[in-house]
Amino acid sequence: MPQNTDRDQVRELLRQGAQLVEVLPSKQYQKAHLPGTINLPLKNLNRDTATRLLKDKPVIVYCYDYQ
Amino acid sequence: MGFREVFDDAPGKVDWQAYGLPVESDDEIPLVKDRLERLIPVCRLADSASVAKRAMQEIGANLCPIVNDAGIVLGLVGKDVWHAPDATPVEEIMEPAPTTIRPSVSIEEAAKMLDSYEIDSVLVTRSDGKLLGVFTPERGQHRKKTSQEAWPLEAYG
Repeated sequence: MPQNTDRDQVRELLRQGAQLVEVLPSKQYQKAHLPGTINLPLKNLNRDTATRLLKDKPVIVYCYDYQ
Repeated sequence: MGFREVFDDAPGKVDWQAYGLPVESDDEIPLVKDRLERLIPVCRLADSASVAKRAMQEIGANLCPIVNDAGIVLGLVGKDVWHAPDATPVEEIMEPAPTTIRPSVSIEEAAKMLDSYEIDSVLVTRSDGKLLGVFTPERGQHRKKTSQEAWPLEAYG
């Protein structure tokens, strides 16, 4: 179960080498995304697509907002 | 899927952008943060009108945000300050909780907003209210001209 986090903790986790993942569709990702983010749209997220991520580093997922 | 630590940044990228943090984009839409005037006068609540006047004069500004120690916007004084006696506390003449926009808003959207509010400039703040600067649309992005302004008066003979 993912742990909730916030902006400040995200910045701290990134300093420690965390991986950022945006789960929105690619069109929205292209409009704007946090620097260094990988785009893995939620509907395409599975074991195969997730192999792009390193298992031994924290993963931070984000969406548009709280919804 | 075997990941040791997974975090959910629930506030999302809207919060990140509204805080003025950098984002990357494949579309090159100019944003308010790209055209921000950061050199602006500021005052504290306890300051008098004379302090605001001096600060505005030094920079040649026609508005002066009132901020607290953390830089959070509390109010705004504009041209009305020139009519106030020097000793008047700015708290008495300021517009409390003025209109603000986020740095992540597109310039086009911001210009439309200023148009609808009929204001020339707007304070730009982070999502927590901290002042970042002032946005003023360039000519051409400004208010829609009225039928009189669209043609010089001389054109009517």
